[in-house]
Amino acid sequence: MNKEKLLEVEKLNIKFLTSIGDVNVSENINFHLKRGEIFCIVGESGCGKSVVALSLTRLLPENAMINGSIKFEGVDIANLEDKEFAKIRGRKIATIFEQPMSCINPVMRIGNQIAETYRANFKCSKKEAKEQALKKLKEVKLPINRYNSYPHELSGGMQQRVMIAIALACNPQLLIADEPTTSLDVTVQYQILELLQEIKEKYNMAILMITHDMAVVHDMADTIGVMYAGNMMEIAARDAFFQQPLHPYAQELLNVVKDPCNYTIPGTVPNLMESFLGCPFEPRCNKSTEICKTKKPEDIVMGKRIVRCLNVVPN
Amino acid sequence: MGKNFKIGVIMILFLAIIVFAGPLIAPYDPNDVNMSIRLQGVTSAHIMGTDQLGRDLFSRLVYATGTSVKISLVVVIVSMVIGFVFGSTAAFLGGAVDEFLMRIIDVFMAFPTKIFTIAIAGILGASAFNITLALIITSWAVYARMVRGCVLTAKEMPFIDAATALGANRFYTIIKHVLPSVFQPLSTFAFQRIAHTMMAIVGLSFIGLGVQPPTPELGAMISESKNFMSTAPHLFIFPGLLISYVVFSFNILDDSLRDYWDPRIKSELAL
Amino acid sequence: MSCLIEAVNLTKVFKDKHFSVFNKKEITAVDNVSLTVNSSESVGIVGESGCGKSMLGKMLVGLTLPTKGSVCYNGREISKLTFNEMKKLRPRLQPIFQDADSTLNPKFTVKKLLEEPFVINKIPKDEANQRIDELLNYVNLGKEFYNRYPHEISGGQRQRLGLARALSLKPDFIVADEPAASLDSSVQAQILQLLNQMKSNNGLGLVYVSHNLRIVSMMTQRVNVMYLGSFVETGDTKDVFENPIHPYTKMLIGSVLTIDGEKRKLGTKKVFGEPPDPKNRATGCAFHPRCDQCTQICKEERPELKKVGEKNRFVACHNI
Repeated sequence: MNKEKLLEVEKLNIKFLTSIGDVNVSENINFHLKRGEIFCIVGESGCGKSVVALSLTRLLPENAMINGSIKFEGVDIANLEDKEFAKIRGRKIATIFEQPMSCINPVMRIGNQIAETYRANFKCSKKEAKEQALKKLKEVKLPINRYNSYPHELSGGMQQRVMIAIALACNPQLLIADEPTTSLDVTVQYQILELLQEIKEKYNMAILMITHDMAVVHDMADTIGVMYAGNMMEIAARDAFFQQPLHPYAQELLNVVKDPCNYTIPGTVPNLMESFLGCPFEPRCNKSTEICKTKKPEDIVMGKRIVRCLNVVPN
Repeated sequence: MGKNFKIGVIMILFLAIIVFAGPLIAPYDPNDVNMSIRLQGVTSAHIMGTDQLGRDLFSRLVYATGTSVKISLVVVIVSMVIGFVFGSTAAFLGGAVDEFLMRIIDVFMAFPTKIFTIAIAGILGASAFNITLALIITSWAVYARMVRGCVLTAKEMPFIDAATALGANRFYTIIKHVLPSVFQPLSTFAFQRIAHTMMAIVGLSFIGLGVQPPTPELGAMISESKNFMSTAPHLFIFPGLLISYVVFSFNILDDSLRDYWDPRIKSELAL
Repeated sequence: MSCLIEAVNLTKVFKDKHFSVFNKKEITAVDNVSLTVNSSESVGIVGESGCGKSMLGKMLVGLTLPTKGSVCYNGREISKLTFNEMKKLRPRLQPIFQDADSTLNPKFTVKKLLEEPFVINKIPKDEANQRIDELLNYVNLGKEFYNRYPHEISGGQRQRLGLARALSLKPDFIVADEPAASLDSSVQAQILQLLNQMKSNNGLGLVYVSHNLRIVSMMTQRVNVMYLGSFVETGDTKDVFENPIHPYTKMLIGSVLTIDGEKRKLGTKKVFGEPPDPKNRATGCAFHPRCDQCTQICKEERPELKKVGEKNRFVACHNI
């Protein structure tokens, strides 16, 4: 298997300029993805995880200021012309979202939608596109006789499968999945996650998954990134992370998920409008010291792990 | 508060003074004929000139605006009340009553406004009262339909269930939750309709089916001025501008009122 | 035995509006369901979306009347009460809705929303204010929110506001319909702990409706597994989760993603098919099209709940 770095994000800063001030949604974020790897970004709502994902495909609103480098297959896509970038988006990087119905055309037959996506990116005959679309339907385990169905005739799980088929239409290298199973039933979630793993194996592609559900992370991830208030607090391999998270926030989060009836993190998620002098997690942290209030933590690299905490001692 | 809202309020206040304090503003009797000063332009004595019968145009305009706006207010308020009673009865009672009332509404919705008004004027004779009647008959059904829709939507909202679960009776939920959710869209809609109705009155009077001379009315005045268009353009320019002013001020207020009443948009406006 | 809530043979039938006047089709949302809840006890109802669990919850608190069957509160049948008797009873039975946002009138401020329960029940102002202070403290909301509108506070705060409203009249029975489904883990934990506190301190009876089996297993003593309107397995939560008997229960539990232990292996498939459509119910056992142990009798005959073993364990399956 080719283990080269497919996506490398370095010092990514994203700011929203609004009339009431700047909102820092991503501060100096670094991470990378290899082919065949599933990287899960986990965090609570408003931590900026979706914004980071959207920035990779330039789907952010106009008032977003992006700074830093995003290298995809060695090319810095952050500074590409829009025209050049359009060749990568869709063809090499595809995205699936939480609500399939908001992304598929409600008045177009699903088979045609998959075929059209293929034709839009590769010049080919209609017949060829249809063959491709049928192949994709089979891959996402939808019955072929659904080719002529309209989206509303399908259940939520099937719609999600259609969206995956559309995303797969051009054999992308990187699939960004933003909360792909949050609105689904547990039984359907189970099957969709399995499907994602299968297609990942098949295409040897990388998946960047955004979720707030630790159980999904446990099920899917090879590598985990924990985000809090625009900061990537910890990046670790799955097994190491679930054995012993190093960042206090990651520890607390895992405790809460394991035992929600007896454990809480005091305080609330901070407002990103405020700027933090020190560590953004400091007010809720049970291990905070004086220095946490005044100094911003920086990434500490410990082998394959990265932790952004002032109290973690590199070994 | 939005800038538009302020502009709208100021424009409407100004209009209200013209409409309700007209006799105090107008320097002359609008029907005072003086053939010796006919078709004069702007002078110091007559700030907007005089018309073909030597009547003071400014005084006539003040009275004319009063006539048009008052008729449209009456039309809108009366049809709103009828529509509200009809629509809410249909929505609250539901079932066969709803079915029956809705069919009546359908029949009234099918009346072509202009033709119906022409017919009324033909049968009963053209007068201010008759066009008011005709406009009410052709417009109340729209309100009824809208009220019914709003009530049905509001009735299904989970916050009604929540209030019921807390022990509220039907009367309470209707007064506190359903009606407020109806009044706001209804009143913005009514504001929008004032401008619309006003245009209809002006149009009907222009073709001679509405308010009859010598009562001053904007549409009728423009109609009278058309013979003097080249020699005395002020006779149609001033009434025309006034119509635009009235319609514009109601529209701008209707827009910003909708934003103002929605707490979700309101907090964005405050930003 | 004194049950707080006793529901017997509840059935709810709807007329499908999408069919024409001549072809009125009926949908059975809840089909012959019986359930008891005691004080200080929490009972779970689990199932996929569209299985009728929310409708069952609404019937338990008297928001919807059952087509057949009865709900008794402390031995009194609530569908037979007069309007005034029911009005007095309402505050005792409270629902907590999944979607807190839409249960809060967007045109009311937080203060008005909190006062509403007291206004409705004509409780004097000073008593109400004192109670509101207690509640705010209890659900950990500050007074600084008083003049805000629901959309101006966060989802977790809205959910807690909804909770405060439901708790304000000191109910003895709560139906919580996915009260924390859309919330972050840390906020979810706060809500669950609040409910548990109420249960142990105030003797609250709780019905917890959810499709999140991990939380149900932690929150409840007894659990009912629901499939297309009927219970397919009921029993003590611990027993059901450790030793599921009905194939559907096995499938549901198999689909739960854990956060400890080994990563799931591909190809060890335990879950089949999509949640069913209540409009097209299968004949015989409703679950048979998705069941891997389906036999001929499953397609023809509907299984009844049968007692299994010593404890309060009931399963509706032909193959046990």
